[in-house]
Amino acid sequence: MKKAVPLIVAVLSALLVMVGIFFREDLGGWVSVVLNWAIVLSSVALLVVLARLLFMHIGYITMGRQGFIYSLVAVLAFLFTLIAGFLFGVENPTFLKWIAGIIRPLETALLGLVAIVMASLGIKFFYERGWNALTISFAISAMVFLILGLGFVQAIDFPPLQRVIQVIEGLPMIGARGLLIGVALGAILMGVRVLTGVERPYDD
Amino acid sequence: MPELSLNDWVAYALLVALFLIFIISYFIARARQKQGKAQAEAKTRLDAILHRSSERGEGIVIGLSEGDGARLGSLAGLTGLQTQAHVFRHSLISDVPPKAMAGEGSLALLSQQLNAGTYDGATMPELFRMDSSALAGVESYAYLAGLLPELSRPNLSALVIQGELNPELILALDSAKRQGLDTVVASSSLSGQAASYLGDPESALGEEAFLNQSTQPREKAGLDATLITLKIIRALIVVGLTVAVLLHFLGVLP
Repeated sequence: MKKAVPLIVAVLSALLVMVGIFFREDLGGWVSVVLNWAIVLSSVALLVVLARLLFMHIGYITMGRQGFIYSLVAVLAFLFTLIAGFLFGVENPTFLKWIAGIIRPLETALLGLVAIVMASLGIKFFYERGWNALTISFAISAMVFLILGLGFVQAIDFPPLQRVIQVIEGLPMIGARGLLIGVALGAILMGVRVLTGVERPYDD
Repeated sequence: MPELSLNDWVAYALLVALFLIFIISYFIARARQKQGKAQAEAKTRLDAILHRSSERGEGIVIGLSEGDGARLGSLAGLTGLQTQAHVFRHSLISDVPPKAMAGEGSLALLSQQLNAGTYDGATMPELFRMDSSALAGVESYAYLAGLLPELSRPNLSALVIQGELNPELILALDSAKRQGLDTVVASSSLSGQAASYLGDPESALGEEAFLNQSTQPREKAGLDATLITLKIIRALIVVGLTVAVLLHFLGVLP
């Protein structure tokens, strides 16, 4: 019984939402109710997990665990944002400016780091694998799309060249579609596994 | 009921075929399991990592979905949970227990619930720790900020990431490699797959992102059935596309 109830709830909810897509006019109201429950539950879950995270960091500080200073920063930043949000409101322009002033430079720095790491991994790709069909085609495609990305070639007024560029620019889409079909099949099969109760990520 | 076009009918037919093939394959796989005819388990990278971490008494960090992809109902997130359960089942008495990092509240709670169930099922609930699963951050960079410090913990052997992940995960992957950790990456997003392929040539591509591992008979049969279904449906799609292209060139299809 302990295992059957979550399975029945999961399968029935999934079936209701799925049937609701086909019979939107008749079942649309019910589907909205179920989806609203899901949103409310998700929000409550976030609150619970945030509280848990906060207490975990407070625990690290009181225990004096190695690196507790980071926990102290996390807790102080959390409390500062929470109190400021309550006092000024989350739509307050000054509050938003403060938050953006902290988050944006950090995110931009991380984005820059991602670019550097990608470039270094691109070089490592050749170093580790040597010159073979895969690495050579990778190098050629990277060069071609870098040049195309600059936009100078597109500026040349020569219709046959424009046609070639159009074909080349469509190539990544062909590869992406192949992968997307695979991803879609995988997702559908995962859905079928959950729907039939073969896979129960909510239960062990 | 909305009016259906030819494309819709083809899609629904494919969906019904996929469902039927899966169900039939699943029952065949279960029957073979019961008769003891199931194939001997192939050793995967994850198995090798789990054995190594058990031998050395080292821990594993598991990354679940992050950012927008971790939203409630994300199938990739659910796949990651099953992989997490598999890792925890094999590391119940490990010196350094595994730790899962989720990028969304409900996913983190499900992850904790699953861990509690795993320890409870193994009749050792006293070993369950609440911090075995945690919320790393709800946005991509916040998630990274939560995940990266976990990778610098001592006595770790691997980073296992499965879910919907953005290309920023390359930072975590690079950090793990620099610290000598093994990596297993399966991202269901295309950009995540492209980035992870650069960092780890054995990372999952396409539908592989939704495959997980399990030693549980029901889930194992489900996985076998999934693989068979994928092979048949892929063949059907290839044949269908070829026929469609031929018909297009013959002028039958617009």
